[in-house]
Amino acid sequence: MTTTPYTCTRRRLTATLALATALALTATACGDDGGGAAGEKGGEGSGRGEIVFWDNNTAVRQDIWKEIIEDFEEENPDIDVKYVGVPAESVQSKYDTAIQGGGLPDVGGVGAAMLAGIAAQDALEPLDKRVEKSALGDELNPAMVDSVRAAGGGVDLYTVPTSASNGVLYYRTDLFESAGLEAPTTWKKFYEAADKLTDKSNNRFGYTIRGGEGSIAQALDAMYGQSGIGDFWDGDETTVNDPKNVAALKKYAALYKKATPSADLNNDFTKMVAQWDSGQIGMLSHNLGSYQDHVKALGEDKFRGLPNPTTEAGVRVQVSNPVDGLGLFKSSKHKKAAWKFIEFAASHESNSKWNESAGAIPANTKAAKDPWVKEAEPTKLAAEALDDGSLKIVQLPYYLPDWNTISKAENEPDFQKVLLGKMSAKDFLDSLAEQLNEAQAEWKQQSR
Amino acid sequence: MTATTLARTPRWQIYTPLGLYLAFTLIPFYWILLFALRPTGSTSLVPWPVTFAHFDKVWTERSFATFFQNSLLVGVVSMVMTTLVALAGGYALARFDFRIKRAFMLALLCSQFIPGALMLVPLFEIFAELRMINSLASVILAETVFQLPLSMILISGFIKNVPYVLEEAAWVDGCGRFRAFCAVVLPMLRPGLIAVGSFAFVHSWNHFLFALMFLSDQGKQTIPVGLATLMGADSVDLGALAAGGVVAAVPVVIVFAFIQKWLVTGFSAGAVKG
Repeated sequence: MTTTPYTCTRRRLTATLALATALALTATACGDDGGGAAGEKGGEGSGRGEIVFWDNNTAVRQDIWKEIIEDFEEENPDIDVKYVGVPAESVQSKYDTAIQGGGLPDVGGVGAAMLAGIAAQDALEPLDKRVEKSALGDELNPAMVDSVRAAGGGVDLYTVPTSASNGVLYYRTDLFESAGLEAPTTWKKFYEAADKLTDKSNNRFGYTIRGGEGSIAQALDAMYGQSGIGDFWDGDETTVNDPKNVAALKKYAALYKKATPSADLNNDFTKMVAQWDSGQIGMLSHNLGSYQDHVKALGEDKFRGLPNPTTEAGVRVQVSNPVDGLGLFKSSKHKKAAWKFIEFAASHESNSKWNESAGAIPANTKAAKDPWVKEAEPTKLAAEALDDGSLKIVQLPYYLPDWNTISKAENEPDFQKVLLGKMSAKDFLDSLAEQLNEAQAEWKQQSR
Repeated sequence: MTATTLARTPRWQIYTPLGLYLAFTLIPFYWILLFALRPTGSTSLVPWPVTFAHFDKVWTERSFATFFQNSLLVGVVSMVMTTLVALAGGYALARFDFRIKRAFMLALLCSQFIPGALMLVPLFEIFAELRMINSLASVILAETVFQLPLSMILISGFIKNVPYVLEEAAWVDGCGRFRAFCAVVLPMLRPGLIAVGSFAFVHSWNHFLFALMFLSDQGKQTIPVGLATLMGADSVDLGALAAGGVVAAVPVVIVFAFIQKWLVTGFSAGAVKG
């Protein structure tokens, strides 16, 4: 039989169509309805079955979570935990979509910075009673519990805190030694070092500033650290535009290009950490979370990490870093099993394991006394500073539903203008203060 | 510029800007390769000694083998579905006149102004009703639907360029409309179809939002989501991230290398007249 070209083309087309349909059908299999949305009641369940856990900061933490899940499943053979790693940058939108459309997990990692928004949408189960009845009640760090309670609106406890990642000033010991500089334990020494270590012609800089995403929290940390002001609010008015803070920010922003690379204008943490780990930059302000990256890149001997420098009067002030925690979602149909998992993950052994891997401060007080905490110097110093009362923490208003917008999209471009000299530190802080005071007043009104 | 003027132009005036542009384009790629191939902690500007440890890590430990398969499935099925539906729709737009044709074309154009993020919640609810959440089919459908308007407009342009008399001649020879379309129009649309199909593939391959939102099963995620999961809030493994970037870029580079010739012909063919 002969085949005309027409028939051939037609056959090919039919085959393509069949293939496409088959592939599409294969792909369609095994879908589901996405589970619960905010407002759905859920239920306690039998304490068995599968629970879904969303990790809000996957990446390098994935392996340790999988290890903890394996331990949990071994201890609770009737419960399966489905791990879902959500990219840290997109976790807020993933939660928001699931709250509106459905598909919330049983348990989710919720940092204090996004807690207010999620709690306000009535998606999380209050945990006070469960914590009281649990062994965790006596083991959780009270300051971290207060911090997440405040972030969730100040009444109910919506997450079990798991870790805190305090701000750290990392510095290159090799560069400091060869320049004959002392460790930057005070702001005066910090500025001296930033100046002396800068040699632009040889591409060496004293400091790397965060000018891109996440710049506001870091700028506030440096600002309050220098001014020594220990409270974010003075009554209902914020202290961000206090004249001492204005002077501090002006001095800090003046480091840009003078002691930092000009590319810092767009620095988010990834770029900032990458250039510090691979370049010749003296100091970097970040948090405990990047400690392991520096160890991998530089080795333990080439750098140290200290808490924020002190003022000349010896006062050490830092802004609060968001405390991470685990939340139980109201829509969960397996709350009993989900709570078991939260208890397990926040227990001494698991919490210690997780925080050791992350280099963060454990929320479980027993875990915080484990030997590894004293071995990782930045973690040890941060934990000591928190415990010995020498550190004043300025609590940032994570409870404001507008905090994320104000501290990111609304003001990061203006901070870049400050760095470029196109806006004064005073104008920037006055505008920031106005937005914060307005958000605070609105929040108070809604809370009444 | 005529051929003679071009021949008289000194070579450096052609190659210098081209070289600069090439360097500007390729340096970021070199940087990705450098981070992917050199050991962690190395500050060398050449990837020596070479290590494939980062590739091994992302491919095995970070499940990029699975993400790759999923992305390939999403890319190929979206491409086939987009092309087939756009072909049918484009033919109707090119060859038939109907009352709301202009309004329909306008609606197609306007749909391009709607960002995908705006449609997330409604789409999520629809797929949840259809029990398609956590299934690659939801991503494939969403990708296809979002790419259809532009693809239809482009294909209708290509079809208009095929003289109608050729189809009429096929009818006279005894072909029906479908057979005449397959025998006469389709072969002439090859450059256009390749252009539209490749864009549909590349767009689906790279698209992050739908895969992130509709898929919550680690085993069903796609390459762009996998890449994003390599970046933590305060810690990032740059070697693994760069290796993941290379894995993500390879199919796109291969697609463009193969279709380059057709792509240029395709778009210029569609641009001659509307």
